[in-house]
Amino acid sequence: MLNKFEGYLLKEFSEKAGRLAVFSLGLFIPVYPVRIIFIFLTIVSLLPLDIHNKKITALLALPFTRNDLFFNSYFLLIILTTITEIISSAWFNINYYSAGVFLTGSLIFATAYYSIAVICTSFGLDNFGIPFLIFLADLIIGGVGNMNINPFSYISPIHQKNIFTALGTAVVLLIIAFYVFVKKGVKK
Amino acid sequence: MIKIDRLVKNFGEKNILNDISFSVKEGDIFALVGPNGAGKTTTLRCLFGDLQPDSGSIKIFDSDLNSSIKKRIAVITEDRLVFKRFKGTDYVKLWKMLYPNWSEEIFSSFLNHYKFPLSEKVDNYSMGMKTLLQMALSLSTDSDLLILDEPTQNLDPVIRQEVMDVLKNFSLKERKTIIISSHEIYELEEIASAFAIIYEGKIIYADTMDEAKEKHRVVERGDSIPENSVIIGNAGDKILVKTDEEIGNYATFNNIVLGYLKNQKKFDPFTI
Repeated sequence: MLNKFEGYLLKEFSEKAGRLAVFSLGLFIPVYPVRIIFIFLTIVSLLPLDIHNKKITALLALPFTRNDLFFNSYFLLIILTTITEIISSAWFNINYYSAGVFLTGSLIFATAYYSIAVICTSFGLDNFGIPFLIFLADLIIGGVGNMNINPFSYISPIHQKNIFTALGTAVVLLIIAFYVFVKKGVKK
Repeated sequence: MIKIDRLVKNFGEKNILNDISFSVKEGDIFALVGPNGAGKTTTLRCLFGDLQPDSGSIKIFDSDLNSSIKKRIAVITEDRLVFKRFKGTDYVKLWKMLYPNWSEEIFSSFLNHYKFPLSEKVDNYSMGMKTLLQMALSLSTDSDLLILDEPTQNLDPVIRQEVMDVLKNFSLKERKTIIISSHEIYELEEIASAFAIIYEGKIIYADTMDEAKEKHRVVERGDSIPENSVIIGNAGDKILVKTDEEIGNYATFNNIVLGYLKNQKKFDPFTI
């Protein structure tokens, strides 16, 4: 199990070293709107990029299953998001509570948009364009009118008016993405 | 040991595999032959889990494809090695991590013989060298099943022969199973113990090499054919016949493949 994850990291960091390094630097910025943009850019560079570039055949020819690819990529995203958040909070003297809230929000956003990008690419769509349009729509629709009476803002991965409904939405999206990628396969 | 049962795969509206069934015994070298676009690569991709079949089942070592089964399978894909920034050493490191039975000894033998420049990016290798490196990596995994898509493509005739001999020895001595998709009928005749002919997503004939040769004869045009025999099709300038009778000559693998494939479709662009 560990060997597989290590092998996956070797492949990801050899193939995408430059972009992952740049985006990871952006993840240190403790400003939520900036941070989610870099999380988004990191997401579209992980598994969704491999699906879009048809690199998963090369990975599946190795002892990786679809399950392994889906979760290895997700765990790498979660690790990058969490480590950068912890270092950034320590560096900028952010208190534990704020750091915790900030990290939870980032993880919900990362989970939701990782799922969206995997679903899009599994259906043969672009890894960046369509997820970015969804990101813009989420940003606009979730911000319309009074946040207290905008139902979308409660489930919005960006606005997260209510952390539990937003978390629930992210988990549902993750399950759908898993089903689409692992059970149904990529549409060729 | 490997059983493919009623496999169906569609890409959108297009049917690629239509009810494919065949089985491969342990220690067999199984050849999958057929024209371009017949479904050979799609079948192999379903076998190693790159594609999910729409229906049907695949059993490898008597179970569904899973994480532990995948460690016992090595694959050479049609596209060869594709990680653009990987050096030879990176590939070796990755293969070592992922395959528990990795044999340094076997890989060193390949390395000494073919002198792979491991410190260079593999993307800069020639296609032939990429194929050889992937062959070396795959054989060094000591996997129980090798899935090889056009393994001798881009190799010169001498090295082709060498590779075929290595594969044959690997299967015979180690009792490993190999599934090969190829157009190289003469090479396959030398090493394959069983085969399937695939055409437009269907298996039109599958058998062991020996039994297929025993069941078929080639006769001259105009020769009389016993009543209990079946004419399969043209095999070059002769006719392939399935029969128990001692007529004509024994068929070669090439005769059998040509006979079955030419029976499916006639192509004459000059006749309207």
